[in-house]
Parts: sequence; structure tokens; C-alpha cells
Amino acid sequence: MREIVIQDATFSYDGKTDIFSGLSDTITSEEMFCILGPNGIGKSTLLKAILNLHKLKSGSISIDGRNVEDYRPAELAKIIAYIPQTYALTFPYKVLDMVLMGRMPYINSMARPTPEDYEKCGTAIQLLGLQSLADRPCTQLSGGQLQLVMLARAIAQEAEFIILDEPTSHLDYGKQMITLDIIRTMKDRGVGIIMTTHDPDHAFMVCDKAAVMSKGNFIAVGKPDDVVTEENLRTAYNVDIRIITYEDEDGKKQKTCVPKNRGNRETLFGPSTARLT
Amino acid sequence: MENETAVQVDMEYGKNLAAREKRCGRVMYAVLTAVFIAAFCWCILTGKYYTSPGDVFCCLLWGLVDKIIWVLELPAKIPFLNISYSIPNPVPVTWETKVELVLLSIRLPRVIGAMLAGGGLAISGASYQSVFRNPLVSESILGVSSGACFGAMLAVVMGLGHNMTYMMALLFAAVTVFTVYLIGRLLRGNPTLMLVLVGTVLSSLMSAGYSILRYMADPISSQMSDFMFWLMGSMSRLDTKNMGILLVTVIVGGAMIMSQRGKMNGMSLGEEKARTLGINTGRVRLIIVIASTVITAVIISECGTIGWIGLMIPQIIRMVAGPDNRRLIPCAFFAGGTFLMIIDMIVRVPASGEVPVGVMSAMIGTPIFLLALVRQKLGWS
Repeated sequence: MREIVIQDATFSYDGKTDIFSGLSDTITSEEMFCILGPNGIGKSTLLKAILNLHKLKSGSISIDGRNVEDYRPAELAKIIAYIPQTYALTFPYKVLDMVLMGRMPYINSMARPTPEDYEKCGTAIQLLGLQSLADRPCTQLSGGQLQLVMLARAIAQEAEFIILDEPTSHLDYGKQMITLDIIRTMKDRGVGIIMTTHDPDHAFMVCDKAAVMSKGNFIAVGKPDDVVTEENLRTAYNVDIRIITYEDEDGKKQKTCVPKNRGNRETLFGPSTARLT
Repeated sequence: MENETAVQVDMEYGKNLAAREKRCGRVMYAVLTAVFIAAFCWCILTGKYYTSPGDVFCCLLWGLVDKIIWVLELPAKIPFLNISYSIPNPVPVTWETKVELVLLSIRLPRVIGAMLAGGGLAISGASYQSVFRNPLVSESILGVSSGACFGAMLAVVMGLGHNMTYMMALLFAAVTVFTVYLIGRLLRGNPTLMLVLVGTVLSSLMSAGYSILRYMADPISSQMSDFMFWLMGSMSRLDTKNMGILLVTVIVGGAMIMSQRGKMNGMSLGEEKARTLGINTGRVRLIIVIASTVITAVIISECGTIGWIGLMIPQIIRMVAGPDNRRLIPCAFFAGGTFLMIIDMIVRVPASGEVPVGVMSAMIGTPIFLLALVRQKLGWS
């Protein structure tokens, strides 16, 4: 079990305005952690700081007592895998080539991928049902299929944490649910998940731990039931939300967020439009 | 995907993938080696003067054995060891001296030099295309070609000797790339974009300088033929010594590029994506820039600017063999080398004057490229 310890982290692009400041938390590799918050609040920036893609202004992020800035790229890549929000594919790599790239932290300079590397990639491809696509160029895949390829690559990377930046934003409703299930399965296989999302329901559906980010810090961290409250969501998203608990046919309780005062024609062109930025 | 039943994982699937990739690799290298040997034999047998295949084979064998004997006789040349012996060459001499002159002093350096130059330019271009994530980039994007031409022209106009011209070309090539790299590193922003922008700008500056020198130069003296050489390339200045320098450079630079070919796949995905795959992007970029610059600068100093190969050969190979740099780099080396060998042969056979190699490359290469475009199987995004 590994822990990512964020201590008093402050980050700024230009040295004057802080994107986030004094942020502290501990993330273990046995939980699925979801970060909620509005656009531009710094969720992606925080993820990139954990990955040592941005240097903190002050404070530290450490794994096993060692600052992430002291890790060599290959060492860090064996601990954390990253699935970004967007992919710009210049060259038409095949799906197999793309998944093989996940083994890069383990392959020496002059060496070729070993049969073990191919076996691990083969396992990852089969886990996600991508066998029929293994020789297809990635440039010919749909958004959902590409997302699965990136997940396969993260599995092949054998990292202890997977960081996903809004993994479901560009997927249709059905694919969103499937992707969340797959991510949850990866957590069950022993990988710590850190993801950002715009949909508070995802926290209820699959996450063990949630945080709401607002005004440069976590205004709440903890279990989704405690963190995703009407008040926190109003502070973060500036929208009135009601959280409803309902029981489905199996007797399982589920919670969901419903925005208030929507679907009412009169309010659509009323005072609420003044809050659009 | 069902949540209740676990997905069955077949370990044989991965093993089959590994075996298949190995097989494909073997077939590819076998074909490449065969094509290369055929092209080499064709080029070494063809030329302005007729040489019979038997003569050529014996003469080359004699030359090879001669070199081996030279190495074996080295201890005898050390003065304080006081050993004295000499090994006779067992290969019988059955050809005229003219054949030996043509073959060993003129044709062989040109053919091997063409192979090294074509291969070197192709892998430089291919590695830049991956590292800068842009298939429209060539090995001269950071200003190495225009810097070398400017330095050489400066030496020619100043009337310095042949050796100094060579040195000036190397010097200005290195200085240009070094300046581009330094400025690119100091600027904030995407390192790839900064390098390409600064490289383009400084390249233009050096080209402008070259044009000014040409304007100033004396059109009647041999300086004009020098212009042709530097701008359009020629293998005619290669002799055994130059070829040796080229051989060492391409082997060293090529080894550096080959050592990074796996990482170049990751680099072509983007700066952040590469870093999170464990690649030290700054170090890979530096190694590739140094290797590519050294290879290209030496090639330009010996053979002038040959412009088409570094851009188009990687494109053609990518369409045929795929973008995986592990395959692309060796294939590009063989393809570029074979291509330039054949072009140089076409250029040196006619009795009337030599068309510059750079011009012939573009003329013959363009239809090949268009043919490959029409028949490509893998699509661009």
C-alpha cells in the first residue's frame, strides 16, 4: 500500500496569483478518489503537480517520504500512470503499439520489448476486450475506444496509482457508465484511482473518497456522503442542487443530484441568466 | 463487460503477439538486407568504365584482405618492439591497375559514402519528425544545413583552402544549432514548438547570409561550381579518407539515435504524455539533436546539401512499415542508403557532366513518393 502525501501545496503559473494554496491531503493506493470542482479551479493542475509536470511554488508532494520532484521520470512512471483528457495523435500507431508504450518505464534504451512485456500487454488488451482492435491504427478509433486503449496502457504500465483527468467528459451516457465500471474494476484489482469529474453523481456511484475544490483549496474531503452535500455543491458550482436518495428494486439505496428549479420555462429567461459567466 | 463473471485471460495471446512481431521483424530485415546487397552489387559494377564482375569481386576481396593485413601488421610498425614481419596478400592480382584505381579509389568510396550519407540523412530526418511531432520536419529544421552552407561559402569567398572550408562548414553548422537550442531552452513555452520556431528563423538568417555571399562572390572563378556543390550536393569529392570520417560519424550518431528509438515513440505523443510514460524528454531531445546535427553537418561538409531524403524517405517508410520507430529507423537507414546509392550511380554513369545529386533525388523521388501516397494502407489522422 502506498501513499501520496500532499503537504501545504501551493502552485502559481506566474508567481503572483495562486491557483491553489495550502492544500493538504493523503491519498492511498487502496481507494478511489474523486475530485469535484468547477472549470478552471485547478483540478487538472493539481493532478499535474502530483505527476511532477508542474513544480510547486511551496509545499511538497511526496511518495514514501520522497518528494515527487526527486523521482526520475521512469521511477515515477512505475508508480503513477496518467490518462489525460485529450489526445493529439500525430502518427497512426496501432493499438498494440500504444499499449506497448505503457511498458516503456521497464524497457532499457537499446533493448526491445521482451516476451513478458508482450504478455502483460496481451493481458491488458484482453481485460478490456480490445483483441479485435489490436492491429487497428489509433487514429481510426472512436473516442470511447481510444479511452479503453489508454486504460489498457495504464494497466500494462503496472502502476500503483492511475490518475485520470475527466475520463468521461467526451463519452456518451452509456459509455460513461461502462468506463466507470471498468475504472472501479481496476481499483478492485488493487490500483489507487485519482480522478476528476464534473458530475457529482460519479462520486456517489463508484468512489470511496471525494473532495470538492473551490477557491484554491479542498472545502471538503472525505466520504462521498459527507462531502457531496447541497451546501458544498452550491459553494463550488453556484447552482442550487437537491440530493435525493432513492431505493431501486433490489432494495439498494442510491443518491443522485438534481438541480433545483430546472425544467420550468419561466425561470429559464429570468434572473438566473445573469449568473452566466 | 459483465461485472459478475471475471474476464478469462489467455496467456497464449500475449505469447502469440510476441512471436508474430519477432517473425515480422526477421522477414523485414531479411528483405532489406537482400535488397541492399543487390543494390550495392549493381552500383559497384556500374560506371563510366567497364569492369568485369570477376575483376570487381577479386579486386574488392584483395582490398579487404589488404586492410586486414594492415591491422595484423600493426605490431611490426611499433619501433621499440623490434619485431619485423610481413604477411603477403593471398589473393592473386588478375586485373589492370586502371581497374584498381577506378574501383578502390573512386567508385567504392562514392558507393559506400552514398549509402552512409543517404542512410544518415534519413534517420536524422525520421528522428526529428518523431521528436518534434511533425511529419513535415526534416533534419535541417534547426539550421544545420544553412549554417554549414554559410560557413563553407564564407571560407570560399575568403579564399581559404579546402581543409579550412570543411572546418568552417562544421563550425558554423554546430554554432547555428547550438544557438537555436540555447534560445529555445531559454524561452518559456512548449519546448518542441520553441525549437522549431527559433530553428526556422535562424535558418532563414543563415540562408540570407549565404545569398549575400553569393552576390558578392566572383562569378568567373571556380567559386560558382562551389555554389552548386554546397546547394545541390555531389558525391564526387569523396575519397577513402573522407569516407572513413563519414563511416565513423554515421556509426556513432546512428548508434545514439538507435538507442532512443523506443523512447521516440513516446516523445511523438507529446511532452506531458511522454514524461508520464517515464521518458526524460529533455535528455532524449538533447541526444537526438546532437546525434542528428553531427551526422548532418559531416554529410553536408563532405557532400553538400542533399535536401529531399531526410524529409521524404521517412514518410514513405512510415506509409509502408508503420510509425513505430523501432522498425522505422532501421528501415529508413536502409531505404535512404539504397536510394542515394542508386541515384549517385545514375548521376555518374553518363559521360557528359554530372547532374547534382540533390536535383536527381528530387526528380526521381517525387514520383515514388506520390506512388506511395496513392497506395498507402495506414491512414493519417
